[in-house]
Amino acid sequence: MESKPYANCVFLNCPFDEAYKPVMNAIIFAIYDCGFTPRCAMEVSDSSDVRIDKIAQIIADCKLGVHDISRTELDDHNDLPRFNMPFELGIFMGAKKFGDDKQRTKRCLVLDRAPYRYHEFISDISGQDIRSHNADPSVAISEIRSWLNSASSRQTIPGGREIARRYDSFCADLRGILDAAKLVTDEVTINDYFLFIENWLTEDRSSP
Amino acid sequence: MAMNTEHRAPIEARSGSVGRGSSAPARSGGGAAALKKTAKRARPRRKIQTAPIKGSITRAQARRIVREVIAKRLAREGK
Repeated sequence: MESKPYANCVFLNCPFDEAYKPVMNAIIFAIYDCGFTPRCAMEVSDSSDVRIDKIAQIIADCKLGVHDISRTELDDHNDLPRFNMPFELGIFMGAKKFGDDKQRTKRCLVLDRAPYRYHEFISDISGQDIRSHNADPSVAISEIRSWLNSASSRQTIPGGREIARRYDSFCADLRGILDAAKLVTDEVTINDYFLFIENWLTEDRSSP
Repeated sequence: MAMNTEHRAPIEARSGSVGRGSSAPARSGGGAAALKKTAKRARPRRKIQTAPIKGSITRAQARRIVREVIAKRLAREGK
């Protein structure tokens, strides 16, 4: 991936399963529409790299981080929870706590399904900026927008409703985009999705 | 960008006495440099390939597809 400025990159730490996809897609769109660049572990597919090294490098490249810890259910197959999201949140916070001056400028937003639910399973993060999205994409967009607005102090970030309106319009166009690209939904990689959003926002802003 | 070279005169004809094969010395003021520049410009350009990112489609394909879909929508909406 081409290098992006540290202050502009948002590390996205969230579940990658189908059930979460509507929220994840909305978050990615909101990050782009606010003028930032999302980064996540799935963007790199080089199997010669150790996964944790890839994740650590992406975290080091990002000033901002969105961490969704809503996926706490036990896995259907083995009755065990997924620990990856809290683990990556810990790496992000560790970088902020113990890193160099640049890493200490990190800011993060923790998202969960319901307010204060995290007290039951990860109370150590009390005092952080923790918000709930209720598994609703439009609420997730609004939370991302508000947080990026305050974390960056930028005056150029559109309102949450405007981003949600554009996201609906993008979703309506996405069917045609996938048809033209001869792709079905489950074949779309995260990098494809990034490209579609980047280009769609560029075109949408320049169209009447 | 493709360049139309069909109607261009040969380099010798355009560059006066300092054309290729001439024994006349190059005049001061960059005659040889001008020739070099012209010759370089006339050479067909190699198409630059942008490396695709790790996905199903390239950046250029995504741009073209998105443009077409938005143009169709705007046409439908009468804009």
